[in-house]
Amino acid sequence: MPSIDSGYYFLTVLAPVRSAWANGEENGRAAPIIELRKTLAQMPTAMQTPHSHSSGQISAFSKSTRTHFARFAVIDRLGYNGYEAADPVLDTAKLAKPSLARTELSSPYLLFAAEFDAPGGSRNYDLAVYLRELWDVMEEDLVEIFSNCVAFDREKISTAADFIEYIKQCEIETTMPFNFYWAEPPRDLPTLTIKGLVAGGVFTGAIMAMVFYALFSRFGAYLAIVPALIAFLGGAIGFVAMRFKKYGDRPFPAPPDGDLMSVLKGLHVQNTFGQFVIEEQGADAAELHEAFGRYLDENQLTKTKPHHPAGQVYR
Amino acid sequence: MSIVGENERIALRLADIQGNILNAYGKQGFPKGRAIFLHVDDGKKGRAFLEEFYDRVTTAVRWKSDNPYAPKAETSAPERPPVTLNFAFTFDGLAALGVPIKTLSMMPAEFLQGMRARAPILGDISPKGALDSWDEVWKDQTEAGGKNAVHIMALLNSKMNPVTGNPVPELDELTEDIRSVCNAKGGVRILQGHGVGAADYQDMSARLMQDPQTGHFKPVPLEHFGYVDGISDPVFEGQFPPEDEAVRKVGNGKFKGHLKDQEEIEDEANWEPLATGEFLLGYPDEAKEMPPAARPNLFSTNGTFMAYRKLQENVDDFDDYIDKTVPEFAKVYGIEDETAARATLLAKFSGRWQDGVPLALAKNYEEWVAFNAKYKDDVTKRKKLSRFIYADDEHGAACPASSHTRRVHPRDMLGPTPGSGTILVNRRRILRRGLPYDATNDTGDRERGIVMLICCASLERQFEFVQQQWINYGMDSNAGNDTCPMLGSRPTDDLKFVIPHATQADGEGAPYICSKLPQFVETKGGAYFFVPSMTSLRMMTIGVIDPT
Repeated sequence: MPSIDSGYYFLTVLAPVRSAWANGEENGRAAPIIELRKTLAQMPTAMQTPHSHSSGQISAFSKSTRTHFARFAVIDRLGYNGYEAADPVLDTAKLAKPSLARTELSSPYLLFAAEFDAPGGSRNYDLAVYLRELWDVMEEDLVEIFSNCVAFDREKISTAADFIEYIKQCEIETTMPFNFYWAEPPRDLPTLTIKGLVAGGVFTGAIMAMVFYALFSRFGAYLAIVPALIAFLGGAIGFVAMRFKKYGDRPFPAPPDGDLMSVLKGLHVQNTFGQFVIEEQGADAAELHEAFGRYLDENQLTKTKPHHPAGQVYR
Repeated sequence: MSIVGENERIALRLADIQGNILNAYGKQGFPKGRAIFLHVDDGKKGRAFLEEFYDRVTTAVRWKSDNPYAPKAETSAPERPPVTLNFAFTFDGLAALGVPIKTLSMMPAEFLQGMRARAPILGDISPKGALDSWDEVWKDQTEAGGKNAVHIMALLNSKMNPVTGNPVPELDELTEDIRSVCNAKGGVRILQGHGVGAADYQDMSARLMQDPQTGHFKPVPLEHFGYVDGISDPVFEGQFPPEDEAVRKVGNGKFKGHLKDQEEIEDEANWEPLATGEFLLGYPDEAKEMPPAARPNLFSTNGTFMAYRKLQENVDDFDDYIDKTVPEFAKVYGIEDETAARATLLAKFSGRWQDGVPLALAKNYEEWVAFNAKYKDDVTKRKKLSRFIYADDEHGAACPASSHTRRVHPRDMLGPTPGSGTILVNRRRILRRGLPYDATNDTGDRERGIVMLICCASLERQFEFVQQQWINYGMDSNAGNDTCPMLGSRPTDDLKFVIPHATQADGEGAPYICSKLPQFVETKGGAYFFVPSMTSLRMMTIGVIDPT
């Protein structure tokens, strides 16, 4: 399940962009790809700089309680990697296949990539919960963006359930999630033991060898040894590879306090505690004790609120 | 020992290089300076103007000097002139003088844009409305082709009359010559408006000290906050004769491998001068590439780029802040003596004690006093001041990572392990020239600061990087969004300056955190200039530049 890892869902959506509006829908509108790019270009980002803070505009994703990162991009054409190198030998032998070494897209695609909390560890459930929340907090934005994409018709997609269904149709598996919340490797990861691998490998290999020996023994006992040996090796390697694959596919466990709300709480504590330290520098013990009591009261370390505002670098 | 063989050593053609690139005149007996900014209305007359002064331009040819630190002169060295003259040009200026579009189009983008347009990158938009308070002379830099845009900078440096503390009369004479050529021939105008100082030039002067016995004035290398300035400057290949280079490269060049202790730092064999191409166009740089430069090669080679920055120092704000902070700092940091606490706080801001002794070599007040007692002889002491790295002070308990000098020249700090390579830093070095200024008008308004002149082969890669990433951001100094405590802009008011303390087992050793830092230094104007070689300047004056 590479789309889910360590408590996060790594969503990758590719929705084909309409090539034109349906008949009767033009009404002087620009082409869908133009409209889409315009909408995306004008979407506010998170407040990441002093300048964007003073603009007062903030990304609609900041209203979601689960989004860590989200981005839209238009993938219009694929990168051109150049011609394949010519092979003079094959050329001379007239064996070279003509190749342009390129791939073209039949239409532009809208990429929607997001990383969000998936505490349930279930692809279906966590995706549905996330998309439902998005639909609740930014339905208008989503419609404005996705209505430029194929098959996103307002009449057909009017509820959160419709939106979830649409996204699921456009979703592709994320094969390389990027995640950095584990500061140290988690303990108690399921581990493969050499003993187990050897035992399992020998066992599987032996069964395979026996099967092949039985199959080939009519050609003579000595002749059957070779396929049996190959089968043994194949069985043993196959067993080890499958164990590796199975363990590798298991998602990492969720890191402690890595969900968005905990991260926001962490940022709040970091900021306010830094401020507290500055204000109380040089205070005597009694004063400090009292001030720290007030600090704990005000900032409720074990509760979600107060927390750092989502989508803002500065408070 | 040098890894460079005799036949591989770069021998700079000193007579082709303008003198202010290789030399900081301010430190070499020219404590007075003037920057005159000119606008060219008529290209032909502009070229004639340059022709008129061409023979008076000061080159890098070494003259005889009585300064013990100055590089040794050739035997046929010319006498020192009483006043030096150098020219530099903005992009608009080169266009106005008729440099071909094809050549201009190969100039770097930041030079085309100019410093004012790069203000958001440089942090020059802070405090709010900062660009509106730039000196009048820069007001027309906003867009290309401005009617009063700065085109040419004429930089004059002069000797001083020790009796009066004023420049020698030749400075006024040369200024007057420039005025009269402008007036008599037209086509070139001197632009006006330099804050509260003289109207048609930016006046500069080293700070002076009056000898109580003789009454004579002596220049002192202090800036207005009271720190010794201009101590460490990069040393590059060809800049000095081999025997000078051998001494100067230590601490100011680059080292290879891993330096562990002071003995290794002091060893000449461990140091090399930086690549010439970091500071002069036409030579290989630290990436072993030729820096990008406009064609023809003759136009660019032996030239460089220069940023002129008038930096106002808000001395009263700085003093007030220090006064206000000292008592609390002393208490938290555990320094009882007020003088020691004050000196320590000042040193923590800069990374050096006010007399220039680095915190890396004298980690506390007592060590500073001892250092000065040990190195009484100025020549020995001066060498020491650049010979240090931060390997044994990784967390900044002595010299805060966020202090000014550690930010602008992190030395070994960005290597993978303490004391390892300077490779990342070698590409971000800048030559610093310039002098302080201090002017008061009739109504008593006073402005003080420094006119910074920064030379490097790529303003974007070197100067702008240092300004944006190291002065106005804290990522590389483990300081988050915090900006340089001294020079940094303050886009928000919650920026801090963390002064770490050596952590001790008993829980003592809390850091002191300076907060609510005002902006102590504000930019009052400036521009990006191209400093041509003498050949290039000649090509410009005769109007023959063939980029094909």
